[in-house]
Amino acid sequence: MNFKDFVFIFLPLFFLSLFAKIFFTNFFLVYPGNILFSLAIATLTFVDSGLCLYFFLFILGYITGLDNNLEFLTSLYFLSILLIWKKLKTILQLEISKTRLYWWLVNILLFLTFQNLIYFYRLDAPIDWEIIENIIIKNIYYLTITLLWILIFYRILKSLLNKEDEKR
Amino acid sequence: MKFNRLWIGIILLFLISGLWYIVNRSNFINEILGFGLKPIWKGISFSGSESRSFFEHYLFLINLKKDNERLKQEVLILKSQLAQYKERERIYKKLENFYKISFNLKYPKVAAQVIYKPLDPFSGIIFIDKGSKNGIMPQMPVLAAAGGEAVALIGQVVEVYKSWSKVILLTHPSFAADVKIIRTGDRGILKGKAEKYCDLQYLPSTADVKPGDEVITSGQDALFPKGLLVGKVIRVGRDPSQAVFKLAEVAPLVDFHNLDLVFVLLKIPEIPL
Repeated sequence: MNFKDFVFIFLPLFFLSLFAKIFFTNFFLVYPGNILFSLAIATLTFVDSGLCLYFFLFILGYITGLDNNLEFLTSLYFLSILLIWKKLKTILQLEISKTRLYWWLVNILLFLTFQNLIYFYRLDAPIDWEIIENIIIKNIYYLTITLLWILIFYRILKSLLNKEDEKR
Repeated sequence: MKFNRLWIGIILLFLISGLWYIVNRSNFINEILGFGLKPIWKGISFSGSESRSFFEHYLFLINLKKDNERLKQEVLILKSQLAQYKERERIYKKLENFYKISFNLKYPKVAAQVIYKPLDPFSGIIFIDKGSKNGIMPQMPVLAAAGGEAVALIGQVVEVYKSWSKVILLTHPSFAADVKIIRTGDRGILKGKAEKYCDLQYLPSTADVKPGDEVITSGQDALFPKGLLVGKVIRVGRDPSQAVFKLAEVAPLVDFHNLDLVFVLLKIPEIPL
């Protein structure tokens, strides 16, 4: 990610996603999915190097972490996805849409596992069937909505980055 | 060269953060982020909830005849202005009512607006627009008016910055308070679990707790003053993990989805934790 792309593509998208996140929460009064995480995953599908990317992921992770009081841990998680992604990108063949979709799903599931682990670590209540049932519903909802946001950001980024390439 | 600059930047950031923490006991990055994002959180939250109320109140106007279009626009503008005035009046009345019903609380109170509520499925946090410059400190109780008739505890301040603070709600898994049942006087510990209802643990096995019983703070934890309404019991049973105790589920009295105005009780914990 170069500085120009960062300022003209990724930063406006970041503000757009922040706007969407807060606006939809207050408008629909429901959790709108992890929009910032979706943006991070969609970004990583196209870009995997550059200092700006590290900074961008740190900010995305940090602001995502504000929601559950885990700012540094979440930003470290976001940065570690980049490192894993870098290692695996050559093997994964992300240009195939099916592989891409599976890989996104794996990433959401991993992040959900991270969220669930923190949740159960903090939870000091007997775990009954009702809690498990609710967690399953929450996770399915989270997975679906977040995947939807990744698809939206993927589309937006694809068209924006293609336009940039054509200009060059 | 580029990486050297990056490392110098990172080390400088850590040094500043460390120094800041030693002097102010708060997170430097959150302080900066809060300064920059507070107007954004506040503005977008306001526009989101205003759009919602606009659609709720005026959606029916869409089907009016075409020749009334101009008048309709005027009516809409006037109505939106009226809605703004009504909103101000509502906040004023809410404040007035809150101070009236919380008259017997001997601690000073600070009214704060909710600037961001993430509705995260794994936690329960809100951000408010008042911080250390308004006298707010960590662990202070946060209240809200419940149905215009009573004041209820909704959470506790966890992190304080200069102009904003983080509040964990009763439903947050890290929240705990010593409470008692008004009718029977039985004590227990109220804990959040990131669900609609909270758990009331460690109730004596002989406790005669029934659904509908009101729960208040006991004042024994040195954090919350005694007598603050918390919620209503909706279910009672044996604690599956500790059979000598009963376990109840408590529904908070306040709807956390519609929170917009809260009150921080300027009460410092009697035993510093």
